[in-house]
Amino acid sequence: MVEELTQEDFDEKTKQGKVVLDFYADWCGPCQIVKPVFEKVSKELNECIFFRVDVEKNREQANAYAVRSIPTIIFLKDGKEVSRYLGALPEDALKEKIKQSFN
Amino acid sequence: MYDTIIIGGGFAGLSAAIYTTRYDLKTLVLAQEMGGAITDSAGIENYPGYKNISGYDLMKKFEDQARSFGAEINTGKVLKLEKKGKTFKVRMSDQEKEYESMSLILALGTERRKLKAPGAEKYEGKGVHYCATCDGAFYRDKTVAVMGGSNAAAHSTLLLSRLAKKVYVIYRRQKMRCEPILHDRIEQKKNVEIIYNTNIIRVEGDKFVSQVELDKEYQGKKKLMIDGLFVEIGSIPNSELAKQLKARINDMKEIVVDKHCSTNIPGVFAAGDVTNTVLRQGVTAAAQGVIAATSAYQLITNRPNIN
Repeated sequence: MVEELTQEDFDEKTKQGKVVLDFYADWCGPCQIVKPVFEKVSKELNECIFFRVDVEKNREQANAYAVRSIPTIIFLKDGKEVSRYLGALPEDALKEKIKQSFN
Repeated sequence: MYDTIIIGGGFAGLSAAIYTTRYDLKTLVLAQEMGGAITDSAGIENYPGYKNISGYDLMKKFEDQARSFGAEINTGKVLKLEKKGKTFKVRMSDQEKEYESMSLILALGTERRKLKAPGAEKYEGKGVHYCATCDGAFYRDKTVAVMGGSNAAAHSTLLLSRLAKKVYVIYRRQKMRCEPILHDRIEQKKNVEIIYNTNIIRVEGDKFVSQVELDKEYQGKKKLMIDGLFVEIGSIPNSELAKQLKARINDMKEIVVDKHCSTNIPGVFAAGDVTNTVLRQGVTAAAQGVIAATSAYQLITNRPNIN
């Protein structure tokens, strides 16, 4: 299950560990494609923590991370960004990006 | 062993799957991105049967219909295609996955043509965008430009005109080539200005885009101050995989098919925007998908004419 982050708990929940963030919005078609892929991969890769961030409800975080294109997937290690990917991607590509980002 | 493997999950691929499954062909659809390019579109008005529907919602219906008839649909990237005697092997980028089939339907679609001007790649996602539906909302009350003159450019312009303070359309020709109904709507928008016979030659900014340089002056200046640029300059057929099978590709990178959607390789069919189609629209891609499906069925069952 992928948790939705809010403005209130964003910093606390992303400050430690290997975090994968899916910045999305409901109006975005490609974001809807990413959603089930993200969900599936989150169940398979237990070493990472997966969150979804609605850019409409979390504008401050979207601005802080300079997100102006969605979907954007951002990889954090102990609160620091290590890489990001713009656009939708299939399951094997997402797993590969995670592997590249955290190795 | 499958009767047919369809590579591509857009209009052509999913339409083909609806027909191949109804023909009782064991069908696998492999899609890198379910729905294909049309999922970028917020509102399709010209697909018969729907006055207005989002690309994502329409493709979801296609997918659900294909699954309901028994299509197996997986997402992933196809890495290699190989002809082995009378069958075909399909290898995924996940090396453990390999499939075999009696026939292939290549519904590979296209990818967006990227702007090649200096700065365009640097600012991708930071002011240079290729999906107005996805990213338009970041530009509420700001100034944006749309590059292009097609239906896609027109739709992006109309969507952005509802969000942005000002929209410039920058087009290299002297008249937009979109449907007249869309052009009429654009003309009525008070916050849209069309700049004809002009190209963008540079994208500039700091952390984000702040201006573009034009190849000729507009109102006395070659620099246009904008917050975002939405690029709609066409697309390129994704025909690379077809080359592995030595399918005939023309100078425009399209897979060449005949009226049966057959390529020059027996057992390999192609459909949709990746082909030498006369018109790249959802409805024509869907039609080609069906023709390819029928041709695959005829090949497998050795029937010369299903009618």
